Amino acid sequence: MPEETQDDIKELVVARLRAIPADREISIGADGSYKRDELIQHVEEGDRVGQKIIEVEMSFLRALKEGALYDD
Amino acid sequence: MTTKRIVVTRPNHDLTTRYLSYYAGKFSNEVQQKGHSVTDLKNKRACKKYFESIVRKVKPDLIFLNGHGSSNQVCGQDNVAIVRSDDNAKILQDTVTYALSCQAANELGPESVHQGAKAFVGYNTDFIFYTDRDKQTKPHHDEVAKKFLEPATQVPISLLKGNTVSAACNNSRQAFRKNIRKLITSETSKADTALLSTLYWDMTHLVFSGDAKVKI
Repeated sequence: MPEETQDDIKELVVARLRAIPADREISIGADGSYKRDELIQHVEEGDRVGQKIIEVEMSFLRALKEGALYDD
Repeated sequence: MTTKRIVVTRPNHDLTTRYLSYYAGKFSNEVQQKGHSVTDLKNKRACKKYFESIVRKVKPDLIFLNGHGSSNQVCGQDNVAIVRSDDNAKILQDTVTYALSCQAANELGPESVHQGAKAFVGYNTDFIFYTDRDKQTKPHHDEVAKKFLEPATQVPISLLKGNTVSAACNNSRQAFRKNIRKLITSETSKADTALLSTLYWDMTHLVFSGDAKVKI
């Protein structure tokens, strides 16, 4: 994937993560629990946790695009 | 009514397992209230030695595993493996197992079925959920985590009600979908829309191996 596209995706995911309030924490199995700003840092660094969050967000956005959320 | 025999593992040593333990505990109470038999392996008893001993003795219809995991294992207290595909997957034979655990449906699930389990229900990736940091010492008050863990617990509840493995999975997915649709269609705060992607993730990664039509 071109670097520009990867950067665009990171930017999109970070923008979505910024909507999370500071009082929320996310538990990602054995990887641990993270606050919003920690998640953003992981996404920006592109590490394993960051890649996981990108995958979660992009999966949802694809589902929105394809209308999968309204299928029964 | 035939009395069903259920074994539940409930490690509780970090934030994630605290929440899983609470919801599995609610399920255990429901099992007892309905007049069935439940062996609740809590905290330090959520270990391989007790688990194997109890399963051999009780011969459960349903095993509800809670804890951290990976493709080939589900862990108990302090993240020590309780069941591993290359070690003791055979302990799950003749049962239906539900693992609320990361990734175990990838390898442990199919291997356990290969070794005689009737079915194995679980997640083929990380199970992810949000919590309200102000409620983390009181999972029963955490309305954020509830949106994830109530649907996730629908699998064993649905099995207890006599549904097939396939129907139990569908019921769980429907519960996730209901929460997703509530968040999409109501006047949702930005905070709650952030939950949508993760609810969808968990919903779409619930899978099973084995007999779709089996009941407990």
